[in-house]
Amino acid sequence: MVAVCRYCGRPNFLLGNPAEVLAVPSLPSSDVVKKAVERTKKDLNLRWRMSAMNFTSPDLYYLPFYFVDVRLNADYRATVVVTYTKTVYVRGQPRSEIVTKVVKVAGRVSLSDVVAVLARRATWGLSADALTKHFFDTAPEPKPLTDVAAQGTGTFLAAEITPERAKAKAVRSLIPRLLTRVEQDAAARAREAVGVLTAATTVKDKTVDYEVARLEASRLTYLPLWVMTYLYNGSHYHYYVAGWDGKVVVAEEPAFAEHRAASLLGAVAAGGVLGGLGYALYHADFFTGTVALTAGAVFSYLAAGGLLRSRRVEK
Amino acid sequence: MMQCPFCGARYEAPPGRRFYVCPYCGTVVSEGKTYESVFIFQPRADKTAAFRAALNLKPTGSPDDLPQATPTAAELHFLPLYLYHVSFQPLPELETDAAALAMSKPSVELPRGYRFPTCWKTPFKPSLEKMGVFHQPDLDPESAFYTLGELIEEAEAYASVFKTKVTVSWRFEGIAYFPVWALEYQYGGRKYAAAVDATDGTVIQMEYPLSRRGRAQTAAFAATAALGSAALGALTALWAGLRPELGTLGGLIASTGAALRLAAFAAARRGRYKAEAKL
Repeated sequence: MVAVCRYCGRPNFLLGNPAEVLAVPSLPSSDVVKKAVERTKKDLNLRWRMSAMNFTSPDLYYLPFYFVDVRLNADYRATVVVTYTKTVYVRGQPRSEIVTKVVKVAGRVSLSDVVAVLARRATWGLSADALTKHFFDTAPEPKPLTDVAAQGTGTFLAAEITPERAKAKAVRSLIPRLLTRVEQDAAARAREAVGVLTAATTVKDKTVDYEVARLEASRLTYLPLWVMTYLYNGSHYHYYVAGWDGKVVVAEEPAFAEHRAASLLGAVAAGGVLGGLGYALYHADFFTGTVALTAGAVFSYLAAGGLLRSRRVEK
Repeated sequence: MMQCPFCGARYEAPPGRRFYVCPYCGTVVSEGKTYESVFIFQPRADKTAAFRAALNLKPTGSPDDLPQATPTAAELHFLPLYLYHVSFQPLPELETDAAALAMSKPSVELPRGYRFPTCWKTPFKPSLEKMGVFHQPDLDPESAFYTLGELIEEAEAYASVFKTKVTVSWRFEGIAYFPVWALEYQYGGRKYAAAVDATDGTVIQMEYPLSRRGRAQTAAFAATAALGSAALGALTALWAGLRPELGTLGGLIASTGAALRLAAFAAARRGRYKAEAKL
């Protein structure tokens, strides 16, 4: 099986038995172009500018992935600070009191997921993530690589990492989510322990023991991704299209006047609402007023970034 | 002093180092062994394609006739990368190859977190040196290796799941050169620079002239942001039952974030574009 390198253009050979490798068959180039044009006709911003766009013939890449089925368990102990307000009656008058309690909790949480790991060391980018998300949403049926490769052309990118390395990457990517789940579980248990389900919580110390209950990597699976370039107003932009159904998973588009108008409105709204309230409250409540003013300045700064952007990415 | 076994140059070699890199030809010597595994990534975008990509990029505020700017210089820079084989004991399944930039201050600024490919390079031949400027490494392989923090963190996170501590060991494998076009063009009597990834023609960064229309438009946006915020601030304060003049002042103050950002852009001598996300 010949694979052509994206970086140096040299052909190389896939190791192992190609019959063991899977690939999702792709639509032909003409169908992909048709789907991309249909998508453009429906696009809110591009549909009015179709006459100024020129599409070029797309290139097909087959990206190698391992799909790793992971189940992680975590046993944890944590110290949680729970804060809530309580109404007390002093001489018959109701009064709010802030109560803070420190609660020690322990528990066990699990997390299962199938993680798509790109079997290449060089990161492809956003389009690879969007492609796998679309793969999970639509579940096309992979076939043996030999059958798919016989159907037509396309560049098969060589896999650079082993299934074991893919497993490591999958576990690594799930750990932050597992830790978030631990914190959520600890907070819920602490609230239950004090009997106030709406209390605010902060997890202070936690010790977590992980256990890998399941870790299996699929066979190497190639997913087809078409990269289609279009010319608008003299500049090149790209569509990244899932090969099996022609869905544009990532679209690079120019920033138009309407996007700039939206950014300007965002900057005005952030500055106006937060600034207006902030300064008006400034004398009554110094802290809240300052926070609102600062937040207004920060949000308006961020919104103004949209006015300076020349390209945008739509997923 | 050390004498390079390849070019014969003599250079200072502080004692106690594992690796010595010849500042003249880049040959690496370690414990009496010379590393000759030198590769390059083949440039696929030529000079014309690189200029076309940069001048047709149309960044915000650039003049409409930027594609007609005059290309004045194009130099292909080859940035040196060290290649490593990394293993983690006692988990042999984690072993991998990695590449790290061998320069502390590269001639071309690369996007943050840029990950270099490590496979399928073309062996280097001295005749290729005519293609461009081959930069010599100024970091030794040990220092460059520690820029690969993410790789090590990933292995440690994996090992912690198995309640194991890993020991990192690595083997230096050689050097690979990564090509980047450093372009220069002239517009309105001024010179501007751009950098294009020569492996795929992506514009990495670019300086460009700001048109009068672009400046005026951005200055108008800054004024609109400030005045609009002031007006909305007054309305918000009124709605909340507070004094509208205080709201106006608050809106103005909070709009400084947007107004200053846009005014700085409008007042700048030149615009700057940097590639954001890799698609």
